[in-house]
Amino acid sequence: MAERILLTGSTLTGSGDVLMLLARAFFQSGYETRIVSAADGLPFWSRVARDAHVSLFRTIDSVSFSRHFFQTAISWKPTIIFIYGSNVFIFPHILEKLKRKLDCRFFLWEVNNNFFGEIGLRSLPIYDHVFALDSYIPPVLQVAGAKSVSHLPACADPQEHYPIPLPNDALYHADMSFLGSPYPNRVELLKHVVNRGFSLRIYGDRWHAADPSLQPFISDMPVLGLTKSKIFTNSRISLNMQGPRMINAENFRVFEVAASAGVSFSTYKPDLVQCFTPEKEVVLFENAGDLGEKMDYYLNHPAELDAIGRAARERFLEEHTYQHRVKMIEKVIQ
Amino acid sequence: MIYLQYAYQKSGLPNPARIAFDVHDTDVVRAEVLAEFAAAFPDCNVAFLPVQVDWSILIYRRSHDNLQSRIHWGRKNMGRVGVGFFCVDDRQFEVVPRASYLIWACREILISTLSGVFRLRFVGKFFLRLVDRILWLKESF
Repeated sequence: MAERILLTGSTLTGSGDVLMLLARAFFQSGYETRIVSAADGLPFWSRVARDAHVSLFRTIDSVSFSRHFFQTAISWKPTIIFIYGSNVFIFPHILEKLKRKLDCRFFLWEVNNNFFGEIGLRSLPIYDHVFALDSYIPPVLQVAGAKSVSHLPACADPQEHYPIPLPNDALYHADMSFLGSPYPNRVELLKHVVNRGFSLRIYGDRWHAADPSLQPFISDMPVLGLTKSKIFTNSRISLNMQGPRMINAENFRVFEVAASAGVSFSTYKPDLVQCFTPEKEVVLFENAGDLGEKMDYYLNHPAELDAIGRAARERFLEEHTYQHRVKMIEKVIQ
Repeated sequence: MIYLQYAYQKSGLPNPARIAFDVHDTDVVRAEVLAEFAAAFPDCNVAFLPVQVDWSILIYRRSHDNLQSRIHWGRKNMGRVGVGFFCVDDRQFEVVPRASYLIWACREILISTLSGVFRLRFVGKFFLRLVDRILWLKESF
């Protein structure tokens, strides 16, 4: 009998499309899959609690979502429950109850390093295996009570992320683009890029409250799936600066840029250089000055930039698709 | 693309054959949304309202969102099978079949009203006090 995988996690835009792409990759590998989203199709009281934006109602949200998840699992009878992101919603006693009733296995792909909350920490011993996006985290998780942990890096999907060259559409053209949230270090770096006279496009939420000098460069365009590929392909350089929670880890953006044959300029992370070769498939910089110098050099040598984009895409196709990650997960499952 | 396919499949209905959009925004947003839908549903015919179609979809920005006008729009522009609401900023696509539109609208109004009430300060305080009292009673016994 084929394994039935019930996946849960966020489907919000900030989480990318990872949950859905992972479900598709499992499906294409012969598994039956179903998604219980922690972001839409929510039960009534979860919706009320979230729309109220009052922290007091978080427990109501968790109770309501845990119940909804439990009922879905009981009726669908999965053999594997796979949690993507971090478990901040489903109570540990619900997971234990499901384990007893369904005799299924539990897996978590921890990508936010957010397991120090009560739910996250108490759930750790229940999982049969935890995959960690951050290679720094496995020993920490084991000390915290996880039975078995391994590193599972980010990836991209060639059906969803692919090169879309638009030579005649100036809308996506820039020396550098950045897609993400306005963390203070990112704001400082982008101000430096602007000061050096490079053309820039910034995409993402909450940028309108950021530094006034960046306002002319903020795009109001909604970034949908195809838009991402268009931005990464047509911008000469895509800036990558990891979020504050990443210790060794690399986020999904750099893989999506590679899939779109774009070029990432990134700060160093150990997991990044494991996945892409510096100066051949990705360009690393140390600080704002270094970034400016490297931008000057590469923008004057466009053939080298193109070669890096092509090499990154080849490496992505060879090693970093969702199918590759499913194979890594299968080794543990089997 | 995959999000739109996922959101549509979740409704339990087959892929749309004909859809029409109502986009109250710039040409750029209109083009982006069209391209995204065309890539997600390559066999689907796409048009703009007002035409009679299986699905009519309202494309809106978060800053212009108003539940009351959304519900009114849905009732007025109901397609043969249903309506969809796509918030481009949050990338949230909600598919509502015609048969369950009334239930959906009532549920949305109720959620909006209740969450509004809970946002009121005194209700939050009352709730906190209630929880305190319950905990105190629990300890007392």
